[in-house]
Amino acid sequence: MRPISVYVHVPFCTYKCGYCDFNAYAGLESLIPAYRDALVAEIGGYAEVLAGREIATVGFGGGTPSEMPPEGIAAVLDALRAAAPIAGGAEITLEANPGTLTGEHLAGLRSAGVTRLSLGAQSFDAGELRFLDRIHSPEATASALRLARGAGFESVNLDLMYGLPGQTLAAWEASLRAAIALEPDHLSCYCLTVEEGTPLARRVRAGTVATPDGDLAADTYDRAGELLADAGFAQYELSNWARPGHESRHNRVYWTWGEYLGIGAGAHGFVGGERSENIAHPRAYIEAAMRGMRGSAVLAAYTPDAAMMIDDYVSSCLRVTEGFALDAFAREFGGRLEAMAPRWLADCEAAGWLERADGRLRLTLRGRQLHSEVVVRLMGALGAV
Amino acid sequence: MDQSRIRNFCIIAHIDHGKSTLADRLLESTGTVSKREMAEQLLDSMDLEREKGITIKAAAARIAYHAPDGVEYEFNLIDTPGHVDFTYEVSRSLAACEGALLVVDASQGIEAQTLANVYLAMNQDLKLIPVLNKIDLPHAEPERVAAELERVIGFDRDEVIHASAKDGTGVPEILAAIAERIPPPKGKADEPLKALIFDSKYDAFKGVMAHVRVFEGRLGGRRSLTLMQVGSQFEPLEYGVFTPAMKALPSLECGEVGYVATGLKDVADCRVGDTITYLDEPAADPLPGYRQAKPMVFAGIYPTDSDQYQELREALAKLSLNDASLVYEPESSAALGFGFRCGFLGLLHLEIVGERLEREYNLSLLTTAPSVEYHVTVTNGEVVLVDNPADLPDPSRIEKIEEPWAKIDVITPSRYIGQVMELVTTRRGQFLRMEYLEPESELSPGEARVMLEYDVPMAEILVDFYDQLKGSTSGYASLDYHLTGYREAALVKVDVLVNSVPVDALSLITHTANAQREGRVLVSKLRELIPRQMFDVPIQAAVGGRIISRETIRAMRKNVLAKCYGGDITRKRKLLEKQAEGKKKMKRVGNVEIPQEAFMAVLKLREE
Repeated sequence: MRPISVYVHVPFCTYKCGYCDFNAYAGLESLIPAYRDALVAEIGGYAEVLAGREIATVGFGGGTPSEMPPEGIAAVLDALRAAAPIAGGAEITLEANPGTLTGEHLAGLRSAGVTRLSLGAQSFDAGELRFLDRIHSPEATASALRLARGAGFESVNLDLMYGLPGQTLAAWEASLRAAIALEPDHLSCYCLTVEEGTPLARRVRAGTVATPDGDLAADTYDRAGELLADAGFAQYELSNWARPGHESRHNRVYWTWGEYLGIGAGAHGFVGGERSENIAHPRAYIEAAMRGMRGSAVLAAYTPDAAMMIDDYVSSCLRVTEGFALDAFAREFGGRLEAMAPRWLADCEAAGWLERADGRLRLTLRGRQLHSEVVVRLMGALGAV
Repeated sequence: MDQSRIRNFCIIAHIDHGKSTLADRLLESTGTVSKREMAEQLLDSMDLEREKGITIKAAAARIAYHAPDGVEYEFNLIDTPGHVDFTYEVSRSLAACEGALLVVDASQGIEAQTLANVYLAMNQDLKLIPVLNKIDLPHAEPERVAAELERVIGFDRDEVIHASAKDGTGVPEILAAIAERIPPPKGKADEPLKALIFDSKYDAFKGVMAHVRVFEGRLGGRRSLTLMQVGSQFEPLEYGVFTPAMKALPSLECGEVGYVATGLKDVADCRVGDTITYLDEPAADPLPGYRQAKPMVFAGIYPTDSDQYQELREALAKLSLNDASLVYEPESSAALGFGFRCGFLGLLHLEIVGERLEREYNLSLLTTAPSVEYHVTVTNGEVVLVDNPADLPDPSRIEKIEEPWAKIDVITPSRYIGQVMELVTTRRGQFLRMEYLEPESELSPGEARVMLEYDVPMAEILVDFYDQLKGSTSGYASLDYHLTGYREAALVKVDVLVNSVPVDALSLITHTANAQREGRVLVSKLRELIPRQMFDVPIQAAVGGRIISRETIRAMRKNVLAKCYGGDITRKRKLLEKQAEGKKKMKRVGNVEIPQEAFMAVLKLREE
């Protein structure tokens, strides 16, 4: 049996940031104990799915997983271990808000088995952090990272955001340099997306916040690549850079067609070719998950058709810099991509977005900023729309 | 009915001045249609209109009028199309009458199109009965408007009937005036048959239904009939009158109005203005005034989705069954694929046809910028008719180009004269004359209504002239236009090259003096409207191979979703599918994807 990964969603936040459209809620902290029990119950319901398999990686995302006390995290991991063995040296990664961490908390996470910490630094500019509604300061990030090291975390990531309205190239460089100076093992650089329905989108529409400049964001991304390469970080995914040996194995699962169970409110899973999505609201999720049956918290599940599957595969696998082996694609789908979409391939290669090397297809350096364009064109070529 | 008791009339009125309401009141108060039937009929016809896409509401109605002195009359009310595009049809409806009600809103005064129709009616010696409608409205100014009618048209003050079609005021007076003032039809029943076609509708069972007015002789029996202008022949299937629903009768007598079911399959064989006579005993001459309605405005109509080409072809065929003035022929464009070049009587006609095709036939269409028809004399002396800028011959082969000109009448309060002058001047218009419709001395400054006359190239008033006229006069101005003839002009074609490939559907014909500016504006509009592509795309405007403007759409740099959160591929795919849908709607020209709005950019050249 193939190993499986597990994503655990923790939807609580002290404050919901204006740009965020994830499944996250502020002010529901009182639900945390019941939510922990629901996670444990939901895992219990997947005993059959997990039986006989090995858990390769675990990722806690949110919301803010660090809003849940370490005992809660420990209880979830114990429930997983009770269902299936977690591989020796497996990556167990957890997202944390640098504004709320203490040494004690971090030690608790460490002893629960968490191996990797991802800190939502976002920026080292106090003004930018305020604009983003973040509750922490640049100093808090530095101190959280020191505490994490002290607690024994050997792999720590910092999340940064670029493409903010009014952000200059120089401001971005300053933030990035400050991040590098803290010597994290991994850096994720995400371009701010103005998501429909968020307070930020309303401010942009009202004209009180400028629409982010796409070309400047593209320059910013290019600059990030140069600075990070100089600092010894290798890019391995569209938004992710790591020192050797510190790539996130959990995140790689999503990008390499691996299987994962989605646990928690609004969590997504991909097991046996089926994609599933859990009930999003914590209260409704808790009620459903407590029934403890397999899939009792699932809101919707479907098995994508061939064209969707192919598109998802290419879309996911092109996110990693090494792309994917065209032979592996042919084995997975019983036909060669080169034959399915010859014009698409030729156009994207001619534009300098895609390249083939050693039997693999991957995005070029330029193509990395046009991933959606490449995938959208493939959808058209495959008649998926 | 004794011919001396027949009264044939129509109603001349501006849109919204109350024509339909007054017509309904006339039918109701004479008992032609009961109040209950009126409501039902309205509902029925609306349903049918929706189903069949044709206007069924009475085109004509026979009204039995019992005068207070006990005499009985037969009134025939003939409806007239209400828009400037259909001037010819209006003129034929007027020709079928001896008189007309001129209905003017007592708060608005007379409008330019109404005045144009009044002149048409006067030219045909129609007896006019002026009616001031809506006198019940608080802001009605019946005295002022009556004075205007007196001054502009020459009515006596005591001829004017004050009415409110809404509450029925003045309706008895109007009925009495029709009987007293409008003369009976002249013709002789023993002359060879002459019946004028003033409208026609297609019926799936009875073929073309010709709406007719019998001028000479009588129409009845099974004798074969012929149309004197077109030359087509037919066996009549049925005669009848409008009550306003169609009611079969054995014959139509001299002077009467009714219909003939012709069994003809094509409205083009039974055109408005033609004269019906007996095949075996024809009249010597047809009735005067016939002409074939000629399209003045041309545009390409293309299906957005090329799979809908056949459906569009069928829809046009069906629509033209009822619309002899709609002409179309297949056309192909390198940019837009297969579609049809269509000719229309005017812009409103174009709009109506486009809207009906989309709504009634569920099509998604792209209509190219409208064009007039140019007369192009080429070097060998031949004259080529060009109604699509893409078809203009190479400049080296052109001897001269002539373009159609129109005379326009604008009626506006005098305070807007400056704005109108400025607007018309920028459209290459030439001022002809100005006339005050009411004395300025008796009104507050700027309030007196004035009529301005200009000559303007048709092409200049095609696109947004009416909107701008309304805009610059706070909505007060009214407009009438008619084609006057062709004049030579210094015109050039501006070609647009997208990525060095000429895009036929984007070219335009314009005056040499405007080519530079319009080329520049067009190019910059296109740069805004065409999204960034895989590579840099130059957009150029050229006149005869010489580039007059150029801009570059830079290659796209960034289109990426930063994060695929917690393995949520579904959400990501939805975002991408939306993008892919948008892409699908674009037209691919060479390697460049052009959105539909870009093809409309030609219409927006005056915005800057």
